[in-house]
Amino acid sequence: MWKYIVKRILMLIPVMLATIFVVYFIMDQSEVDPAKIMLGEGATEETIAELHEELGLDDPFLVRYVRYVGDLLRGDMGNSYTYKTSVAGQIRERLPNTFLLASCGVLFSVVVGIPIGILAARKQNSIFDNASMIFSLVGASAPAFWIGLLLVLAFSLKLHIFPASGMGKGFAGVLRSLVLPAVTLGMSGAATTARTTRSSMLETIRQDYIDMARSKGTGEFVITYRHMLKNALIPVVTAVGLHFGVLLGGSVLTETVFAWPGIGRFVIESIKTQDIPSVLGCVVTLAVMFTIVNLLVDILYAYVDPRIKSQYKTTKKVVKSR
Amino acid sequence: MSILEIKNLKVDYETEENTVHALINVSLQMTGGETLGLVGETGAGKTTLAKCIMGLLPQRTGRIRTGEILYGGEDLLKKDNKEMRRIRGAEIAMIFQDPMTSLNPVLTVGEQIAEAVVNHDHCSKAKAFSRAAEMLELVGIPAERLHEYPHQFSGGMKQRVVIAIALACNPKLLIADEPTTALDVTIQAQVLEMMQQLKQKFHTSMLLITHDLGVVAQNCDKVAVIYAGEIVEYGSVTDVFKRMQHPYTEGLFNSIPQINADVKRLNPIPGLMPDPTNLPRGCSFSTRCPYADDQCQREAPELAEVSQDHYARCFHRR
Repeated sequence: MWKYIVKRILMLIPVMLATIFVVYFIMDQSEVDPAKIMLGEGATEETIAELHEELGLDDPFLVRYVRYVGDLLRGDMGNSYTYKTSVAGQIRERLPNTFLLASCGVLFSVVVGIPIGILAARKQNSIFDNASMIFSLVGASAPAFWIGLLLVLAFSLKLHIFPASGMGKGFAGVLRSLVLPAVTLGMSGAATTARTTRSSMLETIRQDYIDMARSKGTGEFVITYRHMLKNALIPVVTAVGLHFGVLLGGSVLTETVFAWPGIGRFVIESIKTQDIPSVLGCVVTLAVMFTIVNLLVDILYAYVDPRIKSQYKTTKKVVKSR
Repeated sequence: MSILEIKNLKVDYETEENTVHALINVSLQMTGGETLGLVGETGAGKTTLAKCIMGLLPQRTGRIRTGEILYGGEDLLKKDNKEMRRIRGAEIAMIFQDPMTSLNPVLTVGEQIAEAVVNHDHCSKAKAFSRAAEMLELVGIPAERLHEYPHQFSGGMKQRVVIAIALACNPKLLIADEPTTALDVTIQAQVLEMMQQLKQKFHTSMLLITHDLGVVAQNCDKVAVIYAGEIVEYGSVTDVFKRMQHPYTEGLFNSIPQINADVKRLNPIPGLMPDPTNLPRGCSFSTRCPYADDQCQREAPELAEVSQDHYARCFHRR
């Protein structure tokens, strides 16, 4: 198992190099001259040229790429053009917020999606089943910003329960301001989780080992949770894990709608102000996060499914069968 | 005294398009300690009968139209789910056809055996696990493999585990649904022998479902031949094997290749079993029967007693 994890982490290196290369290349293609942005309107030809010289902006692409990666290894993502401070600092400030929001979104989608999926499968073709599938269709297809606006309309403008935007102060304040964006973010996840859980449960319901469990005299509750769910969760773990990765980077819309001080909003801001180092820094951070989450999902797999776990056991061979 | 008595059991599967007649007026009787073989080809209704006794018919499609399943004098079909749960595993246990799919892949074999024990003895987990270890040893698997998962066992081993689960609570009746069909021939004999030994040890009666007449000859006291949902012949193994009355039974025996006869081709029963959604009006075997005449196509024969405790459903009994 450990060998596998180390191997996966080592594999991150080429993946990251390639990702950074692509992003760096795309950003390089833009017509924007960083020096002009940094110096503002009153810049003269000479000062721009001077800055070019100083930052090495005229060096060949590959040289700049290698320099960027080198800086990155030291935790240096350059300075933001707009904030004039280090990009790494900006990201460090915002990353926990995004992480918190994404985690709560995933939590919402799991807590809502899995029970709905289980019930829908256990009562297949019932009214509940149909209703929950309509919910999941709507949840999956409604755009996040629309759901977000509806929630704001209902819960903050009409009912005044939750704040409409921003991040509150203190534990209770943060929690209160977290509800609406988390629900917005988790809605499509809840819908897909419900669907995945349902279809995966329906598949296990028909398995022989479920009849076998019944023939032992096992009660339906134990059958549902011990025998069915444990098997049905395997594809659900994949779906939720991927979704978490997407949420980490893709909460751009939700963060913008709710003015949540996270990375998503920072990316949008940086793109608007053509703040290239910030955009680069964000994309790199999100790519790293995404790959790490994927790795975690793969490890989690092994705990859900013993068959996968035994595949990893390369060092300890099981030679016991006679 | 009879431990299990099935009377006029009629079961349909209802789908949106049509109704499948799975069992038609099946009556059977089993006395304590005996082994009854249920023989028939695929789709004849063997597994449906087993699931009916266990109360495990698929709820959405399975319909029990008429009949009684008397176990110790009580009708199992009248029992609710809670009562059936107490019977399943403790009184009547079942061994499924395919050991590859009948064990839960994410639970250790120990957990799966112990679950049966906990369900009925309501004992502590530790006690259940020690019983599970005992059962594993009994079926010839070292107890230290208790904490391994099904995928770490071979097919024959898995079936042993399934048998251990079924016998963990000393059931009085064991339903074995083609227990050896999915196994290698070399393992089949081992598993059957072990089942025989355990059956004697625990004084269990057994309903052995199979399509292998050799298995019946070696393991059963009585045999029922089932065709298209109907019992066509029923009697002691000697009666049915030596003095068979029904043309279908005869066909089954003729289709067994003889090792010492010099034949070029196998001798199958021609044709296929009739469509269970659309059974013929008369005798359901009439479409394939070499002796069929007008009467067979018009009327359905009754299951009639040929000699003592030997029944056959045919107008042209030998």
